[in-house]
Amino acid sequence: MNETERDSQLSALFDGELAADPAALVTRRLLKDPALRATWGRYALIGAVLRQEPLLQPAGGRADLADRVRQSLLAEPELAPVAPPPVFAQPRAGGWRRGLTGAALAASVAAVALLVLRWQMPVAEVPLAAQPSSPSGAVVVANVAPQAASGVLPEPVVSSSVEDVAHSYTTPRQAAPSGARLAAHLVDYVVAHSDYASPGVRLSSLSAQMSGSMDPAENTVEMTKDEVGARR
Amino acid sequence: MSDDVSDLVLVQRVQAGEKAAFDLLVRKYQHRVVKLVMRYMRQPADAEDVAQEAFIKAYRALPQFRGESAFYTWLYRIAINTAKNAIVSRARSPVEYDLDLQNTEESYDLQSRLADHDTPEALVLAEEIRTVVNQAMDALPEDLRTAIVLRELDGQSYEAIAATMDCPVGTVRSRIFRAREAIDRRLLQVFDGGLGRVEELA
Amino acid sequence: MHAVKHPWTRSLRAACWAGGAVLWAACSAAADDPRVWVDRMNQALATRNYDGVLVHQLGDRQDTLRIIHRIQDGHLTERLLSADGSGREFVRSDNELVSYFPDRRIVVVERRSRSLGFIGGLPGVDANSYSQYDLGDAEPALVQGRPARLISIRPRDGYRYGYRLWIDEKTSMPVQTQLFAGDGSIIEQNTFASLTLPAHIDEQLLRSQLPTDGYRWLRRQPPQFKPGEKVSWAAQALPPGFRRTGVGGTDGGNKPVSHLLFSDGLVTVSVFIESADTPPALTRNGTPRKADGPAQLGAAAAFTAHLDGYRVTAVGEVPPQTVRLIAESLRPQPETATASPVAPAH
Repeated sequence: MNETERDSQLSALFDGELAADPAALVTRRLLKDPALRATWGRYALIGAVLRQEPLLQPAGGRADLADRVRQSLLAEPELAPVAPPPVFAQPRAGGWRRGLTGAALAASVAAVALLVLRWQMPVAEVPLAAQPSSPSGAVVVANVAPQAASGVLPEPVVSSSVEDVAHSYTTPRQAAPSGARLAAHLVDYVVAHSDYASPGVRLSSLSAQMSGSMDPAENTVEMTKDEVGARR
Repeated sequence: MSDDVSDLVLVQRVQAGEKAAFDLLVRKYQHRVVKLVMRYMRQPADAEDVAQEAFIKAYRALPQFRGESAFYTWLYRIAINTAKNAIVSRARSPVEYDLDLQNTEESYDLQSRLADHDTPEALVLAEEIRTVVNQAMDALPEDLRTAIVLRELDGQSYEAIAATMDCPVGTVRSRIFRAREAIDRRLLQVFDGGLGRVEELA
Repeated sequence: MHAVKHPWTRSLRAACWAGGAVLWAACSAAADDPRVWVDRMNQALATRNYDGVLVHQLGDRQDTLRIIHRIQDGHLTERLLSADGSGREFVRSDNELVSYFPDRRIVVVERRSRSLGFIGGLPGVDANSYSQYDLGDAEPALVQGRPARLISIRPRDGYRYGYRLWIDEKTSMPVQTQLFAGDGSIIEQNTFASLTLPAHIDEQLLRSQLPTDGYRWLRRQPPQFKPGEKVSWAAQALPPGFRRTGVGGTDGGNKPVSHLLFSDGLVTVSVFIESADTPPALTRNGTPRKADGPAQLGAAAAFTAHLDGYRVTAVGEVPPQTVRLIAESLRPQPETATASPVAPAH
């Protein structure tokens, strides 16, 4: 392996883009070779300049931050080697690239499964009837255990950095007055407004239709048989 | 995030007892952490102290890190908590920190210059480094520059950059490396033979 | 002390503005900048196919929907399936929305004025968009074990709501969103229970499989929206930050209604103005339906005011006081004057 290959590995390692085995090798070399460590430091410096971060350069006899940390750590006990940590999740199960077509694309990353609910959802059934059998279709991962509606609000597994309280879902106050059917013109307005509705999910009018506070047949005229036939 | 692998390899080495590996993590993230902490502290010098504290806290807490999140994510949280505690404990002056995020770039640039204003020498050196890096960026061929910008400014993975630039991942890796090499050549001249301070690590 | 912009940043910026949209995200200086994440999210929503199960919580209601979203050759097609057993479906393609109600054996077809998906993005990095809100950093968070970024958009006053978005780090998809009020209470929450991003979505997945023989097919007749012929309108007083931003549009229909838009950069309030000559609609048993004052539909508040023989209704995902203030502030302008956005009320 020539000089250039080796340095490019360091660059890739710095970006976290080196596979586990070569990463272990290069890390070992990195820890032993002062020149490589210096290069690592300069890579970090380049990023700092580009992102307009403070450069933390030592001058006037004052050690830089990393040195001060290192000095402090001299006094710290070394971490006792523990049982090997659990296998860390491998990033990027498989690349997908533009330009791949057909079966290759379908096989490699036709779908990237993201989330799997860890809680039971109180729904009768998640319709998977439309799941295609052809490999070019999506692989649906809806890992939901069907369960009779229990009326219990599930708790999503969400945690955030500082204040978990603020970010967990609390039963919101009543948003819609129950029972009252809206005036017809209001229904039209809400539907027309929905295309300009606030960011997020434009489901309010659909939700209203599903809940019954909006009659879907409001302000409609029947289509002729020809019109319907033309749609097929 | 694509920093996962390299960070985790280093973390494992630290957890296995090698402090030197932690130094590499510090060097990688020190600029980011100081900039982050600066938003909470009024004085730039305080920011460095708090950052130092945060790194030490992170080292001590490392045995409990199991890789549930990216290392930087975990470090980020520690840094913010350390900064918030520092505000509380430094009761001398009430803190007003102006998070005017609409002028993000300008305000950060201002602050980063303040941090390097510790000594005249530091200021001069920092300016020189910035000039040299920016000149090198100006001189880069566009494909190399694009690649390193997407990586460093946008934090995109090689894969994402490959999709954006419509080229193989190997080409992305090569372009980023060559961009770094070109900039590094000029950087080395600033340091008269290496930013290393070829140090001995414990 | 001014930031010196080097040529390479300028040329990058030029490339961004020249429509190199993919590089836009690279123009920001920090990966913690929430606007970078919002842009990535917008990009993902606009370009990726997705297929997921969404749990929509509003008040004490909860709806579970499967949403299948495809962008192909610039055309948007979307299908929503309700998972509550009613079998209801909504299929949206470009400018048309078709709603299936198997429990009522009807299908409703309507035209939409814009080609939009059910999950919308946010305004991008334009600094003016968020002037009435405090935009928090993109804080690292976990959603079901996956690294994400939490963006908090906090309202600066009681005239608007706040938003939280959890943006998945790897895919930039909004895996959870919340709409919350000034007191912190959550009005609406959407969470993806499962989500995939397929490279290709089969045509069959986007077609309703319901047997619609024997169903009645209905076409929705919205009111005809067009600027008032003889009168133009302006707001005498608006809540802080709100400006007139344009007119909405829908075609078809049978009576003229003006549809004005007001926005604070993030949220839009619609104002509908029509002649009060049209009698208020009657309920099925002949009693007039409520036509004035406040009303609520989901997260949207509405307020109807009467003025000079006109009915003015403001609708928006904002607190009730906001739509009331806007509705009551509309005034007709004489023909010669040009309508102009009015200074905010203070």
